[in-house]
Amino acid sequence: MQHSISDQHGITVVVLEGELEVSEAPALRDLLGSLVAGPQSRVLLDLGQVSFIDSSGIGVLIGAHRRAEEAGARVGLAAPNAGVRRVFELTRTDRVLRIYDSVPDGVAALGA
Amino acid sequence: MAVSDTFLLTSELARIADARHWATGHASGAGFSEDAVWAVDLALGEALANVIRHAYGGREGEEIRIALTIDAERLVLEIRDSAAPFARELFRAEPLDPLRTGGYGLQLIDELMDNVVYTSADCGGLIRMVKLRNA
Repeated sequence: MQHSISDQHGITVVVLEGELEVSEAPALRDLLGSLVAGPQSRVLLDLGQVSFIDSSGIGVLIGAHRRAEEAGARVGLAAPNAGVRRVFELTRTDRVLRIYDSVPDGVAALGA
Repeated sequence: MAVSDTFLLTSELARIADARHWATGHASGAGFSEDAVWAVDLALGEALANVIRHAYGGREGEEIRIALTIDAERLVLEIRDSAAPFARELFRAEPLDPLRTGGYGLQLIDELMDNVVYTSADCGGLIRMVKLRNA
């Protein structure tokens, strides 16, 4: 898994690339932990180049979402491919995660 | 055309991706649908993670053997370890809590594959998973 970080209108946009799978989960957890620093944090994960996610990746995203919400911050997910979106659906996590069709949609929603 | 192959790995989480890619290569080459290949990919990864984390308790260096067979109707994966057999019946099928951070793997396997059996073989655990070609 590789990542790059930019700022778009005050939103921290993280482009993730590769597979969010079990052996990458600790690195993803550390990355998200460092980015969600307080109630002002607005982090959007661009999943457009993520080819695969497993239950460990889902667990990290749910943990980050939960910690962010508790802190008054926001973590969103943008542009998942069909397979990634289906894992959200199978685990019912699509009901609680903030998932947007595109990065501009996510930036607009998190900045509102 | 029938396919039969085996893949050996040691019980490190970082080895799972190689096993997944091996299996999906065979499934794609045998003409399984993109959706079926995706299901095999995810289910195998989840099963191997369970073996490493739970059957072996996170111990590295233990052997896991995967046998794959494909015929006109189905793809079969048999995952053998040398740890205690996994008691699937001890894990009740409970509604998924979408805010929990773990425990999704078994339910995913059940939903993705057409038949899954947890049993024992050769003093170890055996997970047998079947994906039908035209389910």
